[in-house]
Amino acid sequence: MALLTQVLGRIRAAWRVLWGSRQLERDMQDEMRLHIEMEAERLTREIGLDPVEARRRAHVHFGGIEAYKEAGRDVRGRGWLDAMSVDFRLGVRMLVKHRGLTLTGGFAMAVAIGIGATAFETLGELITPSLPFDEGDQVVSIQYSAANAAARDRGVSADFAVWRDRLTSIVELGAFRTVQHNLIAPPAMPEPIKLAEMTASGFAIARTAPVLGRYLLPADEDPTTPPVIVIGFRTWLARFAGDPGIVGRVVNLGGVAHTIVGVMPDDFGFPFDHQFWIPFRLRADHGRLDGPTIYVFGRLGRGVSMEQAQAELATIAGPADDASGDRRAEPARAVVVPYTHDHVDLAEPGMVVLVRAAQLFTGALTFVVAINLAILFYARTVTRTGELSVRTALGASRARLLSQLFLEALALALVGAAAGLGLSSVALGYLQAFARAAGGVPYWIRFDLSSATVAAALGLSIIAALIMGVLPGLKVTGRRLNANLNALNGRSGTRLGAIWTTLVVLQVAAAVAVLPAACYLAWQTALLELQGPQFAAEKFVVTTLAMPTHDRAPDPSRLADEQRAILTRLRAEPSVAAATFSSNVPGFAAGARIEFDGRAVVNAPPTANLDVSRMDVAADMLDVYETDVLAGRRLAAGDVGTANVVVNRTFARWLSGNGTPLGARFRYGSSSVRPIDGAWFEIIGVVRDFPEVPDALNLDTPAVVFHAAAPGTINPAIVSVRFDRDVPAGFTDRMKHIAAEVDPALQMRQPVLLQTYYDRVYSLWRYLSIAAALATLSVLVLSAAGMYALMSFTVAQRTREIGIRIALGARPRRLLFSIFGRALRQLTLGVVAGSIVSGLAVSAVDMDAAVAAGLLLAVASIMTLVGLLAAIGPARRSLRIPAADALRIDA
Amino acid sequence: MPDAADLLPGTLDLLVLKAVSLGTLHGYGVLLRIQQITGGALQVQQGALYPALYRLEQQALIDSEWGTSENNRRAKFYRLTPAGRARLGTETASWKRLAGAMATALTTTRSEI
Repeated sequence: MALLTQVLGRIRAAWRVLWGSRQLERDMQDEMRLHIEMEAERLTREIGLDPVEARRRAHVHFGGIEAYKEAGRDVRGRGWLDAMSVDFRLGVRMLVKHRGLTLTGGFAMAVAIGIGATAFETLGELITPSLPFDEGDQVVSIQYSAANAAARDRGVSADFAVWRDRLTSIVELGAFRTVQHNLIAPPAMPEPIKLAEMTASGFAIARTAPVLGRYLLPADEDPTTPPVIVIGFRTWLARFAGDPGIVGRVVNLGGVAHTIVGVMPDDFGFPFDHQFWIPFRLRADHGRLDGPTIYVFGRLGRGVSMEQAQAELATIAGPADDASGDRRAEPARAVVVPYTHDHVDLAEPGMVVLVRAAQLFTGALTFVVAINLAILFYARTVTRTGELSVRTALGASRARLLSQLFLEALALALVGAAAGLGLSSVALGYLQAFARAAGGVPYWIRFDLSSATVAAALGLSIIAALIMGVLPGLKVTGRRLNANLNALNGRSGTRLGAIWTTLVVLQVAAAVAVLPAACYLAWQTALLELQGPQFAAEKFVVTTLAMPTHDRAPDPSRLADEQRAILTRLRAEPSVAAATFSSNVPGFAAGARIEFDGRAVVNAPPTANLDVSRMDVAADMLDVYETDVLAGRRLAAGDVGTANVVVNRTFARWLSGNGTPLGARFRYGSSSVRPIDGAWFEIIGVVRDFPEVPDALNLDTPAVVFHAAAPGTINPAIVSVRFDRDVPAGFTDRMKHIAAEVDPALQMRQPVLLQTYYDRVYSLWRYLSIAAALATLSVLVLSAAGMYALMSFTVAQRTREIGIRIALGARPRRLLFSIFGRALRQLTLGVVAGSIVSGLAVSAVDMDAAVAAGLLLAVASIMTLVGLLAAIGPARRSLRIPAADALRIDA
Repeated sequence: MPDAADLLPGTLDLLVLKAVSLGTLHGYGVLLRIQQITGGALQVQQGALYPALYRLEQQALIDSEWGTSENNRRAKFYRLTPAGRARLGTETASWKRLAGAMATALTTTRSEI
């Protein structure tokens, strides 16, 4: 107890020292003043001194107040704190004084730490996911897994019923599947939504109370009870305007009325990233490994390990043959895995190692930047050799000097870290918004700056400050005192040693090596943005029209009638010129391999196979898109169900030099010896490419084959609507209403301008090129700063020599060459080394030789120009050195 | 009165603990109490008292509180903590052993060797 009291007392004292220093100072001042006053009064009273003399003598008896105050601070541990505070404030003043270094270093550190923190956070979320509720780490999934992990199967409806009855090691066993239905809830637009069809045990496992109403209950799973639905908080606000009377409201879900019974909290998305939940109604007639895809989950019983659960499961679920009947496949076995790993696919043991390595690599970027900045700090520290030597002579220890240099570097590192964390926060915000909008990211993965990431960034800053401040300091403060004192007279022998000059050369080489890749990426991205799809994509709206297929395939005749009805309604709308359907958005059809009939293709090329894209389209689709016919004709209604196909220009060029492709025959092949479909198809027409993708980023326009298809044979289908003029405002909402009026179950998903669709697809390259440009800019800036530091250092070291030579009439050009010759040689060496690395990298990719040579030449020129620009300032300073000033040195 | 002797290093802390153990005192009061209990035989650098007080407070051997002095001035009063009392006991015993050993050594005569 006494020890505890003592420890608490020490903690209180330390707290007062840290946070109440000013009050402590005032207290100390008051105490000592009172002491002197009382001593003076005693002397007056007992000896009869006059007050002034008594006060003087009291001061003498007391001794040096400031010295005892200092001793008092040291006793309280304030000494080192005050020293650090002074050094840190000095470091901040140095930042203001050397603005060039501050801007250069701060920018580079901000970019490096921004990239490192963003990668650390996003990658960390992937490998350390945990469900954000009580005992979330106890939630597991059950799946079938063969020896080949890719052979996992989810058709486990029959087994789920057995497991739910017999498993004891896993409690609250539940299942879910994701389905899509049309939600019709005026005044909001009809909208296809993603729902979790889930057992009530999912809510019991999550142990999360609803905001309003209730969550699903076991009774709701009875098919005879009225259908109910639970919604998420974001949906409640966005779609229902936060209506406080939402519970009990009836909405139309896929043509069936559902009653809203509850609203879940904002951060709830179990089982994956859902905002709508309906009861899971299990059908008992599915066989093993048969039925719809469902995910089974549960919670490990109290005190039960995953291994124990696995052992029990093995006794209940024997191996099952593959439902496809392929006897060569190894029987699948039921396995228990952590729930989050099941959805983020961390089953591969090497995956975690890979992700950790990626975290380390991106974090190491900061060290690369720090080493670069160390060069600049070294050049600056060397010019302060005299100051450091004087401090050493006055009693400062080497540790004290290194501490000062470390804190100066730490000031810059923290500035960079703060800016980097700000950049990272913005980037993570965009990523989080993108993930939310795009879907497909589990709700338990949140991209925001965690305390672990901030701590990691601070740790990186401290290590970077050690590299930037202490390493150069060790070299500078390790020299003999006399040599350093001579620096005060300008006779320093300090040089930028071989290591540091090598680092400067490597810095330049790195910039030259990186520049071509960044320039190439930026140029290719610009090509994509500038050239576009080469047809009037802004006059088209595309959407996905789908009939749900959760439990059974849709009736083809019903589907055909509804697709025809939709197209008829759309064509009747004002300003609509035409409407059609296809299996894919133009430019994004599925890939296939074909083999040609050599008898029908004259002079068939040696490799008679071709990778193509296959599109099934309405007979009028090519007319709607107004594609130019280059040979033969377009598809017609009579081509439906026949072997007639039309190809695009890229396909035809592949056969160029062998006559017209008209009449050529081919069939679709496969990887096995036996083709999938033995039917032959004949080319009856050639149309121009649409979209025509610029030859950029290896995204060549694919060879496309168009097959005529009848309504009802494609589900989901892409509906394309063409307008004569601009697309009217609100038309996409109108499309959703039309679909809901034809059939409430029919889903019209995300109608959008075709041009917008293409922009979204290519936007990733834009963001990548921005990131690459940012990183390249920081490398360039650091290289320029390194060259500037090198040149400045040279001028500073040879001031006397330069002044004398100018006084003796040396020609400026010759003088500059002799002074900067060494630095220019290093610049040249760096450019050559970087060019060699670039050349090797360029040769590894499929780039045109002339383009590659031009790119390398341009980059080498840019880097040389940057180096020369960096030299201008020091060069002008050197030519302006007055001879008198130069001679005064060492006088 | 013979001239006051300088304090041996390390003894000021012990004297401060002893002085405070006899009653709560402000800094000047501690000085007067030390002079009183030593009979003026030891010379104490007045200013050095305060680093010693702060050091003992840092070690939680004494505790402090602001109050009003006998002449109605704001003063900081120090009192002994239980840990301080224990330390005083052990240091006093240790000092007594040392003093006894020194006294024995210094009064040894040739005949006793």
